[in-house]
Amino acid sequence: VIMAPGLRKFVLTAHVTSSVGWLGAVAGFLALAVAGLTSHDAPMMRAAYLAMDRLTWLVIVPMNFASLLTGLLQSLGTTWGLFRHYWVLVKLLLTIPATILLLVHTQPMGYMARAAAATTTLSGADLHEARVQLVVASSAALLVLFVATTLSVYKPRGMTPYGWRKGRG
Amino acid sequence: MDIEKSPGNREDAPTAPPLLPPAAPRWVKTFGIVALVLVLLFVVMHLMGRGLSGHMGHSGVTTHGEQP
Repeated sequence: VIMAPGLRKFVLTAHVTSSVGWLGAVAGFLALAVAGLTSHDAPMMRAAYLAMDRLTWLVIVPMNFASLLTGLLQSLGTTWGLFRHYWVLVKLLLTIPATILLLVHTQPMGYMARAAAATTTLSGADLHEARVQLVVASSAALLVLFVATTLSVYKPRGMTPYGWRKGRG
Repeated sequence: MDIEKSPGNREDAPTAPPLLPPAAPRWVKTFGIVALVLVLLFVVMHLMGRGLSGHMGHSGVTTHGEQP
């Protein structure tokens, strides 16, 4: 089913907005994760982890699902298709693991936020492994989202065997 | 360059469509290799115990009102 031009533009706008918003929110998350890891100021660390928890659930997770859903609509509702062009397929293969890893990492994030909420004396030694993991995971997510954005802009050539057969038939 | 073998100059020969799909572009192959290396690195790091335990969040922190 090919979308009408007006609907296609609307879905494209939603896709670009949610995808770039997701990238920006992850960049903000990384800044807070670095602040939480490197700061020696207990109130600052506490505030960082509480803010990261809100940012995750109120911005990053909704933007992630909005980006995935609008991306699926955009590809299936246009001639690009979901499996016809390598750049679309690669974006899908990047977004699905990124979504799974995001949901997995809400667990240490939630634990950090609960620990920060329950104490006023969070110190540099507390939960060091989980705090490092949040920096590493958000850095990796930022890299993945940057690659996905680059693919969307450049749209490198290359048709999959499935797309090639569809094009012939 | 061999002009006789150039398909564009052979007006008498019908141009048959290729029977096999084209090979994956170089950027796809490069991307696949880099992704494979990163995934292997990720798996090796986790097998060496540098990550999965962090998902459990069992490194301790003392909280107010927490019972021993």
